[in-house]
Amino acid sequence: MEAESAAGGAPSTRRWRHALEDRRVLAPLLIAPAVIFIVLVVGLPFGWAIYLSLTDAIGGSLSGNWVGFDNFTNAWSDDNFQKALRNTLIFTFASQIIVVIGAAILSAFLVRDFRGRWIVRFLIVLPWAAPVVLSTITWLWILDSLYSVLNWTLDRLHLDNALVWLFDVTRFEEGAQVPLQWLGRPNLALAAITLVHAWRILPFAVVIFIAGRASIPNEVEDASKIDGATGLKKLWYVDLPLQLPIALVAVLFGIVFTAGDFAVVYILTAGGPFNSTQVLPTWAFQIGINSGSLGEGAAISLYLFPLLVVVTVAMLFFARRAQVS
Amino acid sequence: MSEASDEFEAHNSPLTRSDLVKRAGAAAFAVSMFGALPEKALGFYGPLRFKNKQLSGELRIMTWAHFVPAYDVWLDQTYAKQWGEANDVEVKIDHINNALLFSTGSAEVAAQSGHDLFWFISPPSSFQKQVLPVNDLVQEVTKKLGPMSKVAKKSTYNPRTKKFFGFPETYAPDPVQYRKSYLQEAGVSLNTWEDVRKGAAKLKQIGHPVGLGMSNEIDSNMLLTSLLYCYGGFIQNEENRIVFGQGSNRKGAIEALEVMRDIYRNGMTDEVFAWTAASNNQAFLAGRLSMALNAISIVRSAEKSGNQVLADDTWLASIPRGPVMRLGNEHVMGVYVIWKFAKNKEAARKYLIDQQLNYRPHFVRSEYYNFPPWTGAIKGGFETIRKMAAQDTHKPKGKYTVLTTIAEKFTTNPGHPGHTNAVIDEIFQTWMLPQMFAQVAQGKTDPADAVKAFDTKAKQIYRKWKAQGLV
Repeated sequence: MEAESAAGGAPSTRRWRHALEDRRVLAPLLIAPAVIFIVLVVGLPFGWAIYLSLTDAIGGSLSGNWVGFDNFTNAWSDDNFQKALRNTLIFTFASQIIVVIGAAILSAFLVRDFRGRWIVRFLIVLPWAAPVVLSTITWLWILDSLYSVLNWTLDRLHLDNALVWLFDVTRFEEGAQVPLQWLGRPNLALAAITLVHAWRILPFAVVIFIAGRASIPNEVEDASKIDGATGLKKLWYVDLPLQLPIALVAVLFGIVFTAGDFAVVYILTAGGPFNSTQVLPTWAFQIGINSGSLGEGAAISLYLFPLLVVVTVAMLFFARRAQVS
Repeated sequence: MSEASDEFEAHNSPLTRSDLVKRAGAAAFAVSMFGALPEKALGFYGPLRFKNKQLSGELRIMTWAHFVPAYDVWLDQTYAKQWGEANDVEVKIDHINNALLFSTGSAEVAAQSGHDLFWFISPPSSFQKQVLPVNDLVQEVTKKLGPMSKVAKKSTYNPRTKKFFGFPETYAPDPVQYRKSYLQEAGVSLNTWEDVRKGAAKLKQIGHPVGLGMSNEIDSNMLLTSLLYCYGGFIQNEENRIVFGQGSNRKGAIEALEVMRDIYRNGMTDEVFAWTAASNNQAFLAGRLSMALNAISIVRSAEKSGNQVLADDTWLASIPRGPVMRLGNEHVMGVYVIWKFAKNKEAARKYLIDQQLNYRPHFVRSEYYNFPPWTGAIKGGFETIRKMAAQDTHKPKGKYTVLTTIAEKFTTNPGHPGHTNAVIDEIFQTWMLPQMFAQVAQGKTDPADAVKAFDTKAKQIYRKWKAQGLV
């Protein structure tokens, strides 16, 4: 017994200790909690959604009769679904264009040393830090049909009619009235939602862009100065190419966040006016949860899957490239 | 209003804990005095009645945040507490925004766990397979109070399954609320929809547009279906078959769409396409609108706002008459369901029966918002209700009297002349009605095409739910 103790405990304990020192055991053991967690909270619901989409399950049940791809074909033939799909793409890509341009400009500004830089940085990051529901409700009030602070400001500055003239709103949205009902006309509502999405994602992109700029070696900066690259030239030929991999990561994250977002559209318009601003998540919710057609709702939500798979694969690819460079 | 303590009337004189102790003591005394003869002992003090003590545990109820907030305070802190004490049940009531009821209900079903009683703001037809039929409860209440109102029955009874899938707790009539002075100034009447069409421009001209929503929210659904009834544009017939695109229904629907388009173009602004369920209340209370269709929450809020001019100038009326009829939807049809997975089904069942048998305080405390599905729940029925409403002291005195007329004569269920069912539910939940009306109003489509598209879509929905055995 004493000899065994001196050798480090009972044989079974020793076997465990040795096993834990083996990478083939230790690595899976350490990663197992994360894998189990993801399987439980993502994998199972996802598998269940695929199953439901192939059945005629209705609200109040978690199973149904097998209907093959009927839910997918039925959804595809619906005008509102097609609008929702189109809007999902519009909101996602239009907002990302604004985000990329905005983040490039803001990050160039924010890396400079100036008084109050931290306050400005804090204010810019704030929309990202605030809960999306809360910030969207704030936007709902900003764009409210009656108490819109935006319209109030435009009115006090005598800019409301000027805005209509400047942007030719009446052509942009035939019949639109002043004060502008931002959420009462399809095109205005689409524009408003796109801007809110951009406002929400912008801080995240700015932070990524700033990090990207910080990673540009000083030697490159110096070399570009010696070569006479300044201002826009430097931005176009030096900063942007070097930032591209990490910028793409920001964009791809932004696409995932926006395409899968439910709260902004649901709170601002509930898909209105006349279902013209529905996106796939809100339409899936209306059909699957509120109307009780669970199978059809699951099918609608799964239409997002191919888009998000492509984006995610690209995201992982660029993230890896950014890391390597 | 009667005092809170008087408001809960237990129907079977339940024992309190102290009563029980007293009686047990008396019984022990009697046994010791007269020997082990319980019948003698009990005969001395009367039989022990444990009818209401058979319930136990916890009763969890999910309901909405009422538009009359004081009602919730009374319900939670007085009514439910007293009912719980009388039945030896701990009652816990949760309130959520009405827009979240369906999604929360779905989540509970998915989890097969949650509340024992779940309240919906409109009949939850698609949940029929997850709830206990309540035919026996309906029968029991009907036996004591007389027949259930037609609006309640057609909202909760499925003629195909022959089951009541929900227990109607309340309904709210949907009156027109209007600014008397604005209408007088513009010389406008609200007696018929034609009057509204003609008067809309005048009201807008004086700076107070008409407020009839065409947005993705429930008030718009209710209003627009009502407008269709008035013009004879029924979505389904008495057998619950879709008939929207046929004969007189099609003609009526097209007329209704044209009328709403004209009212919008002449008398409203784009705001009606952007409204939430609270927006017409806000716009009316801000002094902007000349008229709106809503439950009495607008006028009650006006009375509580401290703005006496607004409160006194807000009058109530029946829905305008159309060429075919004067008829509107209820504004709210409060329906309780008992989930199959409810843990305390017995307490849930008793709670529902007791509440209905003693509905008067609910009507009073909700400030006449909650009408009883069994008119006999208030002794004397509509006659008493009319008298009670007439006694409301707010100016102009008697303005609430018309509510009774609306409830009695001009209120029906969504889906009239058929039943409220899963088809109507999906039509409402996917905003097909505001979509159709708004597209026509904004000139995106013409009325005939809009009716055709609606009819096609409604028939698809009908086929889907028929295959499920729910219509």
